[in-house]
Amino acid sequence: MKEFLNKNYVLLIIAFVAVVCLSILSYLTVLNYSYDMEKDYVRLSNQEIINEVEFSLENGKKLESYFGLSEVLEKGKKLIDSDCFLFIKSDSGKIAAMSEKTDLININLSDYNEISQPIKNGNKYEGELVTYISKKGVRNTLNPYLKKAAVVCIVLFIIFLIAYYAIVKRFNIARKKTIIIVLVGILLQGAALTFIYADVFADASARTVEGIGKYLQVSLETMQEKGISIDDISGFDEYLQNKSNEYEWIDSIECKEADSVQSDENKIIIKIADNTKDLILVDISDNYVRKQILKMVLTFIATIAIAVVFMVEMMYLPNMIAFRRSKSFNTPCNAQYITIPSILRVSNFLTSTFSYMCLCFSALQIKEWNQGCFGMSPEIASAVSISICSLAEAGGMIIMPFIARKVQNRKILVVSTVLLIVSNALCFFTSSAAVIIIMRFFAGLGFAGNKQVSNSIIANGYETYEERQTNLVQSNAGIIGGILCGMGFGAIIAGVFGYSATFLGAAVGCIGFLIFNLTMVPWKLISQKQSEKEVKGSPIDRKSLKIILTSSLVWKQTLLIVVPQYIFLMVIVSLIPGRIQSAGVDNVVLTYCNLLNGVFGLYLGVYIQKFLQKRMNQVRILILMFLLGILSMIILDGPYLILMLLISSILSGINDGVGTPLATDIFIGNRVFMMNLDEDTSLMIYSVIGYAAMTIAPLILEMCEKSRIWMVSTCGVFLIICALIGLLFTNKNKAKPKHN
Amino acid sequence: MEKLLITVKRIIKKTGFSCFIVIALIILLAAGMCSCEKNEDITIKADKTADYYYNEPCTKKDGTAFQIAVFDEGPPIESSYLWLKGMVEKLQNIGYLDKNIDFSQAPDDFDGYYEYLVEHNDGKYVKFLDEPYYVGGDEDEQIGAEITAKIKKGEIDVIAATGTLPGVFLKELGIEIPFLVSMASDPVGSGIVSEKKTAEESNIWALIEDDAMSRQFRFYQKTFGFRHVGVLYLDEYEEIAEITTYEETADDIGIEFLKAPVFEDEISSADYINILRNKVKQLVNDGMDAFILSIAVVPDDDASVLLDILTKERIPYLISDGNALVETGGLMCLSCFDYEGYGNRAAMVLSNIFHGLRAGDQNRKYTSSPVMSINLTTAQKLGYKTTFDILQFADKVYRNE
Repeated sequence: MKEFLNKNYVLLIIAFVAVVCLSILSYLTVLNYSYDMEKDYVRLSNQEIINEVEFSLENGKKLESYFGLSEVLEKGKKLIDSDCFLFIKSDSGKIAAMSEKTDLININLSDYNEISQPIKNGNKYEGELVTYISKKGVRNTLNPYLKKAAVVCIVLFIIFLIAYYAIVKRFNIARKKTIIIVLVGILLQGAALTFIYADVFADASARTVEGIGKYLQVSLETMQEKGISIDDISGFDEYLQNKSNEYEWIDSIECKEADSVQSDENKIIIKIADNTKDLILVDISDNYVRKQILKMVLTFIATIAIAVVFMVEMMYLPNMIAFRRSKSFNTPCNAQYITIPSILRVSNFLTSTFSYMCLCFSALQIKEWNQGCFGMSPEIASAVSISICSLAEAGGMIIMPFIARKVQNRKILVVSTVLLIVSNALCFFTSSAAVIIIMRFFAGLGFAGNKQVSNSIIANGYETYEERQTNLVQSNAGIIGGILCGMGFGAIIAGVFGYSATFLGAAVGCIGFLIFNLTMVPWKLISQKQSEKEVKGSPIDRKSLKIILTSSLVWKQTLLIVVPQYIFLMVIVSLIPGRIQSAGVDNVVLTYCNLLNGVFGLYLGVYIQKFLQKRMNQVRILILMFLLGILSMIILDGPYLILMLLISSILSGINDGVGTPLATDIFIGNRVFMMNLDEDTSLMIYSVIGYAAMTIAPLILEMCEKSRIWMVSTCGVFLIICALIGLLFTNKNKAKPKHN
Repeated sequence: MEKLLITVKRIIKKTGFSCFIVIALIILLAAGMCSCEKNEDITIKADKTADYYYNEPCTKKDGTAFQIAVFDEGPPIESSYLWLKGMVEKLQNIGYLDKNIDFSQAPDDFDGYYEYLVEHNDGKYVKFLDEPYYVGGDEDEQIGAEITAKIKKGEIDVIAATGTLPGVFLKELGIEIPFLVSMASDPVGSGIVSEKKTAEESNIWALIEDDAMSRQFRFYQKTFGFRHVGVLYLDEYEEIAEITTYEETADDIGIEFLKAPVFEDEISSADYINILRNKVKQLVNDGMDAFILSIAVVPDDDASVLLDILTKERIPYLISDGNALVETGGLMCLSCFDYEGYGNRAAMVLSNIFHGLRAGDQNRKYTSSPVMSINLTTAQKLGYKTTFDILQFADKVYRNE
């Protein structure tokens, strides 16, 4: 047993962390969903008072001089029947009335959800009703499920431990294959959690139906107090029918005599006070509940899949740690060069995860605060917070090779990561849009520094050309995986804890990234390799720059290979989400598109690349990838949209997984670069061109999404590019890098 | 200190500088998270608008209660009662009257309500004089002298008045203490206040509501969709009933406006009801598809005298003002005179005055919340469908056996 633990403790720790993380993630997903349903309930409950206020506005009242508005809000608060605050803001931004007797309310945002509903006078926007509803109610409802889930997960983990021990002992399986056992365990845990939380999905969906029921109940009771009975309401059945048609979660709403009604779990029965004769029955749509459950289960599975991807990536750690402790570590031997691609993969995976976890949330946070700075409006400030990070990264990448001449890679890594940790932490602690923008700038510089280090490892961590290719492939795979996991985790954390929590997650994650890199990367070997190369003066001098800028080969490769490849990269970012939005397809499809894109690029890319390499040369593989990219775009205009979206995501993922490292390899391997630049600088130039291409790509893809002519024309241009690549680059003698 | 430095150097030597940085960062971040909790608090504060009022009671500087006198035109009518009710309820809400007083038990007429108020008020913050004053009769001169004397002795601090007559009376009296006029139909036109606020009128506050009748007309047109509306009104009340406002609004919307004035000599006729009925029949012949009954046309507010003509033609029977007319047969009245709201507003202005603000500086503009009353029996007779959406907004519902 002791020996078993000694050999497998890393794997078991990772498995334990995966179990805990999956439990937490699943709980957070369900919590997020429950919050959304609660918000829907509040929106419906508030409809009564919005109707009342809008009726008055249509008859001349103004929000800023609406006497009795506080009393209306007090009534609304009673309707919701939960811990909440309501206030009305006029279109000039002034608080016109509050549901509380005082003029001042202090609210801790972390304890409340905010719901805003517009108030209109005809089509004219007059203001909004803002409700802050306590999160405690939902959390209390989920507590029993959380406890059940925790117990089940602990039991499953113990069973897994015993099973793992028994299987490994009995069958003496190699460590690589034991990972499959861990995977099976995680999947079983996922299935168990889905089963446990299924009731929550159903109950949360029913909550929304309760909202419309509450609205009807209160309206009828108010009428009753005035002396109006249900019989007085002309066309009441028709009204109920129209109401049920408005909401997809309701099959029917009927008014029946109390004697004729039997209880039914699919029906919400509304009793009207002082009326024992009649009841309103709201029939919950089974279809809708099933659809919601399916949507939730799919989201859940996607979350589990992302967690599995994260865990699978972490499965490289046991071998790395084992090798780290061996004497061959940091020596120029075969075993070390085999480990370097894995290090690049995990390192890039971690940095991409924590980068994309918080990437878009700076903009959303600033919009939430509705705060401008430096003379900018909140909308512009929010957009700047994202673009300033990219600009700093691009700018940082240009100067990094010069810095790398003077400063060791490890120091660049430490400083860059510290910069990332501090800037992300400050983004979490601050309440100022200006601070966020400044910190995002520094974060961009931090990313540039880490990218430089990664490029240096790619450029110096190989002996053979094939090993360099593998470095590029694995580095790219890490980025793909990181984007997938980062965006997934970010969405969940932001949904439950708020946008700023994503920065805290990124800051903490970067510490892990730093520890990993400092311990796992063979710095001595990389420095040695770097110093062995003949590097004179600055990374790029005027003469070299002139040669590069006037080289037709460089321009051809830039325009025909790099730019199109980056445009294809952006299909999953711009084109597919745009098509999903314009077609009104559910967002869960987007989640699966991202998942398939990531999984196929991450896991199949490597194998497809190896398979094709044995059969074709680089140029043909590149043309094939471009054809896949074209297909990923054109099929979006076909029938069976959801299926086409998923296939497009897969094709785009394969294009990314194989095409990106290939394009990188071709670009940095051209003789002009080889003779005039070192590989770090070549990779830097490639990245900078990539940033520029990623700026224009969304514009092109947006036009393709909106116009069929644009789509066909763009694909036609790409076909011409494929033909040109075939003509211009086949049979060209490409300078292979000298063996290190 | 030296020992600490040696220990740190030893750690760095053992773990490496980089690891030392990592450990230091982790400790810093953890300490930062513990000690510097993210402040997620927000404060929501109601903005002071032009209609801001002090929401807490106060007494005079010497600790005694403010003395309030109430003025009305005699005899008081339903609108006066509603105004008084609104004012008292708001004063209670702010805290000037004891929250334990159950005003729902008070009589639903002006005199009875006032008596109940005086009887139950503990007089801690405000005191109402034992009886209200009614002007417009033979005793105006006497009332004027009495009020002036009381003001001189300091027995009245502020006066709350209802409509035009008491407002004009108090203005002409030239008193210096603040007085409020809540229900004058045209305070500027009647001379109670000037169009622009002046220093001389700094003690006078008058509620001004614009376009009430226009709003009512537009609501009726939107709800019933009529194109030719007939209006029956007393010629001598053409201005008070704001018939010109109706006409201008109809013109603005593009609706044909059919006027049927009732003249003075017709009012005194013994055959008055038939005269009214003939006028309505004439309007029907002229092609009206909706009918509005103006104020004080039918005797005893009995709207049923005209109902059969309109039910025969299925023409909506709309009321300009007065729930009694709806109760006796009118289909609907959307009153854009929120009398209780006027009272609420008066109470807010009083609170501001008690806190030291000048009456004349308070915002005069007011827009009533619409108050709708509907007669379900008439609706049935006219074939008008009382749908959920309409009934949802009804404030008063009537039925006739």
